[in-house]
Amino acid sequence: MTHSAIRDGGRLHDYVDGLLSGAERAVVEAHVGACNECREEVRRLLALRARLAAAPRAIEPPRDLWPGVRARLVRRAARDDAVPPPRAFATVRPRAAWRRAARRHARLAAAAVVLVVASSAVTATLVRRGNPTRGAVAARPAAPPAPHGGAGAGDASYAGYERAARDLAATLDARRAALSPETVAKVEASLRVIDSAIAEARAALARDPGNQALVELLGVTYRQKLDVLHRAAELSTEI
Amino acid sequence: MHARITPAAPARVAAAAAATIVTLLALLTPARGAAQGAGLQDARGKVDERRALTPTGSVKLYNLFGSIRVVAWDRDSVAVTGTVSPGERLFMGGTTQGLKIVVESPEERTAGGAHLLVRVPPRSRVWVKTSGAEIVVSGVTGGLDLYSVGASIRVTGSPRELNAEAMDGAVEVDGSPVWLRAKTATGAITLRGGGEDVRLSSVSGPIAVRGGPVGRGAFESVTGDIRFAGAAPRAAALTFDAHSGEVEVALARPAAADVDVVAITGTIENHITPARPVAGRDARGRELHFTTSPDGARVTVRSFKGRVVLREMP
Repeated sequence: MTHSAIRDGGRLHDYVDGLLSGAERAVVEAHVGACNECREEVRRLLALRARLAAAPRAIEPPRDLWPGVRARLVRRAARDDAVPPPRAFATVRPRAAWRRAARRHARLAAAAVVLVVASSAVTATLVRRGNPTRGAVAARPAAPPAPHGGAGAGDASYAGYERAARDLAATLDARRAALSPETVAKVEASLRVIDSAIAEARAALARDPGNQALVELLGVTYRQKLDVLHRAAELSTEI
Repeated sequence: MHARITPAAPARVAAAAAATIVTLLALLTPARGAAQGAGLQDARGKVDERRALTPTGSVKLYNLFGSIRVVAWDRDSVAVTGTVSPGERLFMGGTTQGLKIVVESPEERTAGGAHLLVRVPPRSRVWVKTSGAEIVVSGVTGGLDLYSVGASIRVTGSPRELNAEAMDGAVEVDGSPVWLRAKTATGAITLRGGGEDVRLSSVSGPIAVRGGPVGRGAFESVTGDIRFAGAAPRAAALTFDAHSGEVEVALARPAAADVDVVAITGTIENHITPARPVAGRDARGRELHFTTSPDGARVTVRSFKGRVVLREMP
């Protein structure tokens, strides 16, 4: 592979991002070892990555955004349940119950918004930390300066997931009575399985903070947790 | 002395009797379909309702227990037949653009629940939510959103969109939805067919895909096994993530793929090529990369501690 093919073909970027296959990486590494210009370019790209990693991991929405969002969610929830129940069966589904259902939908929707915001922030963080799919298993540069920020950065990344999980758990707790004991037991059992997997993956990540596959696996497991909580909260809404 | 009856008296009596009968009939006869939102029906529990619906209209169905069978038919209307348990009532209301069908129960659970057959236009969008009612859908080519807690969800056909979520109920799909999402906590997920964009996710239920082709697929579990046996076109991208479940990927022959596998503490078996896994970075875990075709499907497997097996289909 020629200098121009490596330099102008974007392979240095792929090399730094850990996207090259084993054979390609070896070729690029050999060239970088022998070419001052490309070595300097790699150094510059790694420095850029480090600066990006230090950038804010989440941007908080303006404080005055929420009331408007909430109002729209409430209106939508009310609209979704606009078809009234038959009056003859009012004892079973009085209008007040439907209004309560609308309010519950709104709270669930609020939790969903938190989930989406948190997930987006964390996903963006993970993407910044490396290629989300291929990079995880593709070969990495031989010895780059630690670009991922170590376990501490991981903790910060997953704080968004934890926060979203806490919010959903609180929503679910408030509605626990609407779920059968069997369903609650199933949800709790699944959460225990997930929490155990999260603990294992986090411990492994603390030992090997640059392991992109672990980052991906942990992200998947956190998403599973949010999914279960969200589904359980959704199931507890009144029909 | 006899009461004197005027000639008009018989007519007045007859008129009063007729008015009484009409009033009673009006009170006792439900105004079937006369007004939107009008409900139901038969105290004994037999259901037979029909409403017009545009070909791409939406139908929302709620039935906590029993079963719901949704079948596409070639008409611009929705028909609901079946039975409801004593104490349950069926409400059906809405417009020609969207209908809501609710089985209302005075108690949380009634014996047997309601068993409904719902016929819908093929291109309609159907939303079903149940607790313990089995959901079976066939022939719908529009969109499907199906939710259940403990009962199974079965879909036959190839809807444009299918979202199926259950806690411990199983999800089974026979067909190739264009867009498919299925999630369970402990229930099994089975796809016999493929899809352009597929994501199957379970906490501890097994995930099985047989057939394909799958264009873009993501298969995720925590402790459940994942088994894929099918075709992956050249442009396909398949990702498998498991914490402790086993991942088995069997590609249709000849397997044209660019494969990356990482096992943090588990094992990797490759029966497709002679390539063998090597120690990962810093001697942690195992990694395997091989390519049988440079423009083949991209297959990525990540496993924390489960076994990973790669093979070609027999």
